[in-house]
Amino acid sequence: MQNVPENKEPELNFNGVSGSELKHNAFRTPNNYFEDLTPRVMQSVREAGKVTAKGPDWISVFRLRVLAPSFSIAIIVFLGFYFMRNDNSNELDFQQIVMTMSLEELDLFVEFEPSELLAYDLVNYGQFTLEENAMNGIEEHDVIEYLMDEDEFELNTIIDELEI
Amino acid sequence: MPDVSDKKLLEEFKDLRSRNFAFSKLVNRYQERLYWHIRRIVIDHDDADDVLQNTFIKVFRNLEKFRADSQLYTWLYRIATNESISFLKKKRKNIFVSMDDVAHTLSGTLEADPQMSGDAIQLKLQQAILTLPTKQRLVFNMKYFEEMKYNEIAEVTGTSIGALKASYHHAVKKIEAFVKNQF
Repeated sequence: MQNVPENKEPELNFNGVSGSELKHNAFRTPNNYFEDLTPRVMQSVREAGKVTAKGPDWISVFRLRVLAPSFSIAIIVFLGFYFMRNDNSNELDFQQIVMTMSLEELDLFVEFEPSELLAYDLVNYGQFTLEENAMNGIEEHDVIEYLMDEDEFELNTIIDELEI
Repeated sequence: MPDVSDKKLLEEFKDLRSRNFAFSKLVNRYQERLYWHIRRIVIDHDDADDVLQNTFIKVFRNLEKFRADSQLYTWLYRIATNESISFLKKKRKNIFVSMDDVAHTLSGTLEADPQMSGDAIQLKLQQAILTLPTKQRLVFNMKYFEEMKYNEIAEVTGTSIGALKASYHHAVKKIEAFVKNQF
C-alpha cells in the first residue's frame, strides 16, 4: 500500500458518476465575495496591527502581578513584627503617655480601664504622694450635701453607701 | 524554494515602503485557494471567512520569518490548516462535544447551508468526507479537490509521503462505501 505509484491513484467512482463531476465544487459563495475580499483582509490586518502596536500595558501588568502581591506580603510581615514585638516597649510607652496626662484626663481614663491595671500603672509613688488625713475636716453631712446636688442620685442609695 | 514571483513578493514585503502593497498582492494571489481549503474543513461560509481573515493576519505577522526552505503556498496552507483545526477545536469546546459530534454538526450545517449546491450526490460526498478522521479528511481534500502533489501535502501536514498515500487510499474506499450505502 505504501508503494502505490502516483499514477495509480484510486479514483472515486459510484453510481456511474464521473470523477470530474464529483470534483465539481459543491459549495457556493455570496455574490462578489472574492472581489471584495482583498480590501477587507487588508482592513483586518491593519486593525489587528493597531491592537498589537498598543500592546499590553506592561506597567499595569507589573503593578498588578508583581508590586501588589509584594506590597501585600510586606504589609503582612510588618504587621506580624509589629504585633509580636517586645511587650516592654508597650509598657514603657504607656507609662510615658500616662505621665503626660492631666488629672482630668486620668479621671476619664479610669472610667474605661480596669482599676487593677491602673493600680500599678498609674500610681507612681515617687511622683504622687497621697496626703495623710486627706479626708480630715470633711464631715459626712458635707458629703451628703455634695452628693445631693447631683440630680440623678437617690438619697437612699447614698445613705446605703455611707452606711448611715 | 518559492517561485520567482513569490520571491519578489517576499523582497517587496521586507521593504517597509512597499510592505502593504506586496501583502495585498499576496492576498489577491492566494485568497481563493486558501478560502476553499478552509471552507472544505469548516464547511460554513461565514466561519470560513473568519478563519481566512485570521489566517492572513497570522501570515502578515510572520511573513518576515518565513525561511523560504519550502514553497510559500504550502507554508500558507499550513497556517490555514492550523487555523481551521483550532477553529473546530474551539467549536467543540463551545458546544461540549467530541470531534465526531463536531463532524455530525458540520454535516447538519451542510444540509442547511444556503451556500451549498442542491446536488444530492455532492451532498452525500461531502457528508461521506465528514465521516473521515480530521487528518485523513485534510489529505483527501488536498489530493482530490485541490490536486496537490504528495510532497506538497507532506510539507503542509508534516506526514511522510508513504503514510499520505495509504491514508488517501483508505479514504477513497471509505467514501465509496458510505455513498453506496446511502443510495
